[in-house]
Formats: sequence, structure tokens, C-alpha cells
Amino acid sequence: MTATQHPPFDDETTVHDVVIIGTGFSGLAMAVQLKRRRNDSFVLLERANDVGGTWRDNTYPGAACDQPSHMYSFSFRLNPDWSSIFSEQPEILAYLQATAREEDLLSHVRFGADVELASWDASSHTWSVRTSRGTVRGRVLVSAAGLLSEPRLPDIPGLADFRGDVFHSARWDESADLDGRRVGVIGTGASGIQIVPRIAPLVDRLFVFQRTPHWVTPRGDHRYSELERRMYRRNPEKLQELRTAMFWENEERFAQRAGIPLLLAKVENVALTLLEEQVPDAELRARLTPDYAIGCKRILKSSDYYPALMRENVELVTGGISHIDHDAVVDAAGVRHEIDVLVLATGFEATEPPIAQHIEAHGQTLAERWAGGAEAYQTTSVSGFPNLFLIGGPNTGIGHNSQVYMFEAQVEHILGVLDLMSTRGVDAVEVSRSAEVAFIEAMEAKAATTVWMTGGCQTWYIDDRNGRLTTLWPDYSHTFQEQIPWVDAESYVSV
Amino acid sequence: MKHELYPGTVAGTVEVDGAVVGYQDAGEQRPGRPVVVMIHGTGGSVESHFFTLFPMLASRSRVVGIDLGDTGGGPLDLDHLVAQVLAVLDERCPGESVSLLGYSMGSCVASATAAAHPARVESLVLLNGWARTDNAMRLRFDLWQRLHTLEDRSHFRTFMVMNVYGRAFLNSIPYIGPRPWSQVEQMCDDYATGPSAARHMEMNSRMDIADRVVDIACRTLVIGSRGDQLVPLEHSHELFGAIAGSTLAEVAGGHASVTERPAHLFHLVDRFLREPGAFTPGARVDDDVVLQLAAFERKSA
Repeated sequence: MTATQHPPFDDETTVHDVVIIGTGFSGLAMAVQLKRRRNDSFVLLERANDVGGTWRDNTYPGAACDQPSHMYSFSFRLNPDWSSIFSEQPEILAYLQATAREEDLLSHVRFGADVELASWDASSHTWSVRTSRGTVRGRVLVSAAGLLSEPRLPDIPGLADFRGDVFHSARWDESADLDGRRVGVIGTGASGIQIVPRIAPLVDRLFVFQRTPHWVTPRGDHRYSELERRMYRRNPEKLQELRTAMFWENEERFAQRAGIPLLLAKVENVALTLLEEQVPDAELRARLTPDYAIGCKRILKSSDYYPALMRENVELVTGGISHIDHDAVVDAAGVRHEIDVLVLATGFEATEPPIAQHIEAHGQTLAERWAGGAEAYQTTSVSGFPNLFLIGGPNTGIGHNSQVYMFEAQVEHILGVLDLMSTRGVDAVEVSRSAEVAFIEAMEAKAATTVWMTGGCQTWYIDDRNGRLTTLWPDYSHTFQEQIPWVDAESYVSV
Repeated sequence: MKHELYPGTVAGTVEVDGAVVGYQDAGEQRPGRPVVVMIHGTGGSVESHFFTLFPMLASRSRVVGIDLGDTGGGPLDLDHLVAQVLAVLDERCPGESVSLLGYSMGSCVASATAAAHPARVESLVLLNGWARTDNAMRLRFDLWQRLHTLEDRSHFRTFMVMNVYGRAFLNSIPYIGPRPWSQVEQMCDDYATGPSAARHMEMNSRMDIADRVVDIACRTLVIGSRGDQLVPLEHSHELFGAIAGSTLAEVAGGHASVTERPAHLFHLVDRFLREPGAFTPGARVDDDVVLQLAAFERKSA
């Protein structure tokens, strides 16, 4: 579907109730809930030509979610047909496309509309959102632009001089031919370890450039049988039971990150056993063994990454990259690794969400407001920014459970504030600074005991500018659902 | 060998009529939160039954786990176990009113303590507990005792793995898929009970505290497992009915809730202690924390 197939852009005199930026899991969750509450006055702004966010963008070979699909989906749209525990990207994208279609959201989406600047107009109490296709106006602005949507490119000297194909994992170049070629993958995080096993059998040589080894635990790929899927279709309560089981299994994992040595040791043992079983070569094993506490960084899950590294045509390069020239990556030891195709599996901008530069109120952008680190009341609203709500903003990242779970709690909070506004009969509210500060202080106290702050971690979870844990929720996710939907009327001041 | 279940745990013993009772005291006492005192089940210990739940709770408040002792000699007496609990309370929390958490047989000890000593117990959590051993349970307990005396323990171990774990736990490994049969065999081989298990079980087979539990006056959280074969869920329903200030929560899985679903138990107990108002006597705890917007939609419809 393309932007041109859609009706002409909005007339600027129309004021929608809600303008949503993004059509990934978070934006669609918000829209479905508005729609189901029979509110039709909303638009979704989408820079691409299809819905799906991360799951539209990340088409690299092997792309899959490392959360079980039955958990990594909407509570209000359980899907009995997931093909396996960890379904791959095409299936997740299809789920989101079906959601948009079946919940009748497509006519609300403005495709090809890249947000340039959203500004709060204090006199009319509206957000005016200028996009690449025109301007839309709304009372309430929901930024659902994603937690990890903006590719982060590595700062390696000479990258621009490389003459072969080069692309970021989230912008996979389908036209680049890998068959029988020499390929380099820079980065061994969540994307890198999914790509490597998938492309290793295709290529002539594969160089895997690892900066820091991750902890890796096993991941199965059990495919649900026809019997199981039929049972879930006919007995939705069994499907819910499965999801509930997955949820609490995930929650048990949080205890492993909460600084409890015995539980950390248990999961570290699982990871080391996998490494020992799959990598008999002691020298290679040493280079793959992390020197920091498990849980510091995201614990990766894969049962086929280490075996891929054992292949004859795959070489793990550690010790750092010195520079890149026209046809090679040169490592710190000065060795040239000649390469035809370079894949940058270097992750995403996290501590500084780029959308913050495009949202402005009272002459200040959200990025400026967050110069000292991103923060938000109930993770969702920001003082000085009336009628603005963020889904997947500061302190909503979760390593041990489903990100969609976090989004849903935030959507519930936003619906609560919308109800508060209509009960009060006002068209604008803003969170008080004191409520915001109290929330942030309580959260920091909780973060202080977790492995991220105590484990000698160097990770994107922590903001360099202030040493604060600004991306992750530093607790079990069930406490997020207990706390975040709650709307304290006192904290929201009518403006 | 005992592990330190939580950083900074203070361990020690007290003696009660010749029985050596162990305790493990961990976590930080927080204002407005009672000390949680944990009592294990048949043939268990703080470590074997609360390996995950103890540190989870200790990260939120002060927790004292009790390793029940035994005098040997004549049949085990429930009131003697109650005396052991009181002795640990006197040693570690003198004059305080605590929250007692008992698992399986430990729930009987906790109930009897709360009924007889209301001033020492401000709240009660009964995990996979019961008030009165009925005929269906007694069949299992009798078979347990007969198998336990056999020289070849393999029958006993298989019998226990079959009784203790729920289907989902036996059939699947989170994040992996189906649990291979070899692992189930390994679980059978590894199954072990503590030295007093047979004496605990003999006491269990004649357990009847129906007339005591009705006297329990403190607020109580009764948690039963839907797939519990050893102490079926109906027994939690009885406790829920009998105890005026009780709220019922059901979890999925078998009798080994402490192994199968520790995070769910933690969530329920932590909230029960942190937010007493959220637990209405006579009501059941809902699953909204998992159902999320699906539950919200139903409520606001």
C-alpha cells in the first residue's frame, strides 16, 4: 500500500481528539483502544508506507523477537495461530497488519507523513503537527515513535570510504547479494546473533566483529503442532493460561537481575553450560566469555549462534576495529579483513530518542527539556508539555519481559487521563513538576539495588550524561502494570 | 551445604525441648511492613522450598525463614512445631507481630500458630495448605509412607515427582519447548526429602485443625494451585471459607508452586503486605495484572 492511495491530507482546520505518532505495537495499541471506545477522532502519523514499526523495518535474515510470541502480542488480541514459541518477523508484521485492518484503523493512518515538528499552541490548546505531507492538529499528542527505532551507526574511521555494499541491520538491503561473498557483521548484540547463523551457510567468508561478548542463554524453536493450535483456537482460556505461564516465567527472570547473587549464579551457570557445550575450543570460548555480571546488558537467547561461529568459513574478530578502508575492515592488530558486504548490526539510539527533537512546547523542545536525561511522570507525561503522552519513553524498557506489556499499561494511563479531562470538562492538562519529581525519585531508589547500577555495567541502559538508568524500568514488570495505569487527579493540573 | 540465600543473611539456631530449630534472617526491616516468617513443608527446608521466594521477598522487606527441628521419639505433634515457631519469633522478633507464611504442611503450622497466638501474628499467607486430611489425601499419604520405607527408593521418587509437579512444568521448559523425558527421569533421580519427612507425613495423615482455623482472626491470603494433586485446590477453598478475613488466589500449576510459579507467588504476597486494602475479605484475587487492557476493556464496557 502506498501513500498515494490514501485520501488527501487533513485540512488544518480539523482538530482531532488525538494525534498518534507511529504505527508499531504502541501506536496501534493506543488506536485500537480509542476505536473500541467508539472514539473516531484520531489520526496516526506514519513515516513509512505500511504499519508495523520495528517489525516492518527489521527484515534482516533471522529477525525474530526474543520474547515468546504468545506474550509479545496484545492482551486484547491473543493469537492462537503463532507458528512457534519465537515467531519470526514476517509473522509478527502480519499480526500487526491484521490488527490495523481488522480493527478498522487504516483510514486513520496518514502514511508517508514524517513528523517534522509538533508544537503546542497554548492559545488554542492544540498540538499542531507539521509533517512531510502537511499539518495535522489535535488536542492530545501521543508519541508512540518507538523505543528502538532509530538505527545507531558506528563511529569508525573510514566507514564512508567502504566501496562495497554497506547497510544497517534495520535497513537490510534486499538487493545485496550475499551468496558466495565475503561478509562482515559489526556488532554481536540482539540483531547480530540472529543474523550470523542465518547467513553463515550462504556466504563465502563471514567475519564477525565483536566489541564486547554478551551472555547467551539457550532458545528453542519449538513449532506449535496443528493439535496445539486447534486447541488454542477452540479454548481461548487455554491460550490465556499459556500466556499467563509465560508472563510469570519471565518475571522470575527479573529476580536474576535484582542483585540476588544465588539467582544470578543460577542463570550464569545456564549460560556458561551452553558455551561449554557448544564451543569446545578453549581459546574461542575465552573470547566469548563476558567479564561483567550477567544481566548487565540484555541477556541474549540463541541456540544457534555459537555453532555458527564454529563453522570453517566464520571468523570471530575481537579486540576492536582500527578503521575501515575501501574493501576491508582493519582490526586493532592491523589485520585487514577483506569484505564485499558490510552489515552494521550496531543497535539503536536509546538514551536519546530522536523524536524528542521534534516535539516542542513553550519554545522548548523535549530534547532540550531532557538535556539532563530523559524523565517522565508515570513514565508517560512530562511537565511543561500539556496534553503530551509518551509510550515507550523513559524507563519503559524491559529486558526480561515483553515490551508490549509495558505499552499496554501506558495506554491504560493515557485513557485514564482522557477520562479525567472529560470528567472535568477541560481540554488540556499538564502534570505538575512536584508529582514528576516524586515519581522519578521513587524509581531511582529502586534502581539503586539492581545489577545495572551495581554490576560494573557499561550499557546503553544508563545515560552517560547523568549516570542514571533512564531507559529501563528497574523492577518486575508486574509492578509497572500495578503503578502506571493509575491516574492521580491531583497530579494533573488543568491548564 | 547451605547457601546464603540473600546477601547479609544472619543464620542461627534455637533449641526447643531438645529440637534444634534453624533460622535465616535477611532483608531490611521497612516501616509499615511486617517481618515475614516463612515455614517450609513436609521434609523441606528454607533452602529447598523457598530458594527463589525467600530472596524475592527479602529484597522488599525483612524475612525470617525457619528450618523446623525434630526431637525424634514419639509421633510428631503439631503443637510442638508451633512452639518452635514461637521460639524463633522470641529470638528474632521479640514482642513483634509478624506475617506468617506457611507452605503445604507449613501452612498447618502457621494456621495453628495464628489461631492460638493472635497477638503474635498480624497476617497469614497459606500456600497450598489444608485444614483436614480427607480420605482422598490419605490414600496418597499412606502410599507415600509405604513407598518411603522400601529399600528401592526409585518408586517413592517417581511417585513424588508425579504428585508434586503440574503438567505444564513436567511437559515444557520455558523458552525451549517440550521437556525431554530424560530430564523428567533426572528429576526423579534427584528428588530428595529431609530427614524428618516420614515423621512429617505421619502427622499429615492425621491432620485435622478444622476447629482451629475458624478461630483465625487476622487477615489471610489463601493461595492454592489449580493442578495440585497432593493437596487439591478444594482444600484452599475450605480455608478461604473458614477464615473470616481471608482472600483467595488461585495459581496455575501443581503442588510445587514455590518452584513452578515463584514470581506469581511473590507478586501476590508482596502486594498483600504492601497494599492491604487491595485484598477484600471473602473476595478472590483477580488476574488483571496479566490480563491488562483485556481486563480494562471488560470493566469499562
